[in-house]
Amino acid sequence: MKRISIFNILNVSFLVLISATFLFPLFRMLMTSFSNPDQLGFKSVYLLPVGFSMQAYSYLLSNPMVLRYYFNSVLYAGLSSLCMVLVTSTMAYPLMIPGFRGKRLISFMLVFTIYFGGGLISTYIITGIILHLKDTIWPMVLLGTLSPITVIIFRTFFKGIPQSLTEAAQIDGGGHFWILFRIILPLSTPLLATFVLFRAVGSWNDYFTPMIYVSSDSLYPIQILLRRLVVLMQITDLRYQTLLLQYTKLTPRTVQAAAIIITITPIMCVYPFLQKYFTKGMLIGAVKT
Amino acid sequence: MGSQKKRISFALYFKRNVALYVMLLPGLVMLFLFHYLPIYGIVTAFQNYVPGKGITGSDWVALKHFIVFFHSPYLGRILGNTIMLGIYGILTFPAPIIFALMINEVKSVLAKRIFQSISYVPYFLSTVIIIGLMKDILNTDYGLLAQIYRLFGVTPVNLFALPEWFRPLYTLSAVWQFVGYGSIIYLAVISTINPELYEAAIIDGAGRFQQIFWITVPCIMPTIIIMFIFSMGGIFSGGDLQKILLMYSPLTYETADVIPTYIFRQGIEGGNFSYSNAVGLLLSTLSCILVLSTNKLVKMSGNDTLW
Repeated sequence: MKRISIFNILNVSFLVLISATFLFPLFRMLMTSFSNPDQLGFKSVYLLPVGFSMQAYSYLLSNPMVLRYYFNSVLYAGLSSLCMVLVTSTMAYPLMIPGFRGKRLISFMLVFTIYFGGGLISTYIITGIILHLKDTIWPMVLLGTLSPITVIIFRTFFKGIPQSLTEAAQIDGGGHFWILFRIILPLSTPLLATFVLFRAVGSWNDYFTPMIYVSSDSLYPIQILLRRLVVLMQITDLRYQTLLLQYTKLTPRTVQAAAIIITITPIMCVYPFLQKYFTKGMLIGAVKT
Repeated sequence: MGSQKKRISFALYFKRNVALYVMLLPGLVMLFLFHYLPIYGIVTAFQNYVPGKGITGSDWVALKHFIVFFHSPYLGRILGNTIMLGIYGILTFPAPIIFALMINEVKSVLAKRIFQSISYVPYFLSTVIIIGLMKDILNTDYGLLAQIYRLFGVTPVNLFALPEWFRPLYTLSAVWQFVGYGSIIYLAVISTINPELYEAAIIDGAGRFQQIFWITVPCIMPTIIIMFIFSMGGIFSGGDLQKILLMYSPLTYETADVIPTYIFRQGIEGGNFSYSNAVGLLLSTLSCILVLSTNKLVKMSGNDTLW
């Protein structure tokens, strides 16, 4: 029979308390979102909704612009993950071929950008103005797709794949593209899963890139809507006055809370996967770098 | 991989392995467009860049913007805030370590996993959501903090509007967000500690705290040192621009305005591209030097035993 020491009791109690602080703010939002706006007023929400109503959700989900923003977020997350996988693996593969001519030059060009970059304004000038990518989907999809560190991690991983497999493919007449796409990538699923998840989540959570590059409403992702509702509403901003009037009729609190909930729902749905690959991924990255 | 022994000519190698070079094309194009072109774009810091005229068409003013910046009345403020924010950040350094130690002392594997799982949740929330949650808790009418204020008979105050609260709010929310994520690396190293060390210590009569101080901590000390050096490299970074932008307002500029936010307001909002680019160049040069030095320091600290 184990002796339950005071140390253990205190430690676990603190951990329970800390865990509660991690979860409670979100839980509170969940409860607020299901509250009845008429009864809610300015009351504080604790463990249960104040009254019950799905009004906030029906308002949000029946609004075509909201659905459009949601679709945009999905689009950007999906496209940027796809681009990331393609560009990173096609860069990493040649670099792991023994004796590849140009390996040193390319590696240097990659690593250099880790230490020195153009900076926010310069990138904005080039991407937005000179390349005319302002107000298109491309900044969200392409910026940040090529990360030198990720290329290095991919390369190291590819190197670890037994040469016997690639040699067998070569004997069967397979060229480099075949080897990459038919042999190496299928074998790299954990690696790909990790980085796709990271990239997708990063894209989903990003409000800044769309904010500075996009001005058309139809291109905005859902984080921009969230920012308007949740952050800007607390500060008077004349541009959003019309939005304010629309929403205040339904008590902004429930709509704000519901918006937060629908934004994190996809993240929470993939959370078990995120966790699994997250811990592995962090360690791979740390060890290999 | 030594120097290229020209056993076959490059042209021949290229012909035989065209696929490899074709493969590199997308990546190289991206690298060029989004990494190297912006580096070229830095020249606008030495011009009076006007979008209409393009980079080649705008006039050159050499160091004018830098001089203006050094005479700017805001220089002291934003520099001070940037450094202060960096210092506050360094102060939070022990948090993931302590958290990792606490988790490690939990005996039940299931409980450990549950606590860890929960601790990662804040990491995956977007900055907007985190600010939203903060505003909900701190709201003067229905926020949790307001209820506590009222319990003590004090009128609730909107902390977001108070400059002296910016750094604590920013830093505490950062701890909330990253303590779970930050503890992973320490937990990983802790898991490599030989259990026999603990068994020997228990036989010698060591209590829980003693085990932690004399076994666990020394074993992760190399990791701690390296992580600390890395975090020093970030002092001048000026924090998370996206988060500060959502948190600050003209009311709190005196503590919240840091170099990146100043650059943002001048450049993206104000359209002073050249000027803000110049300031940005100063910042990235400083950061670059700092990061390179801290990386060197880490290498020098002899970290074979690290991972």
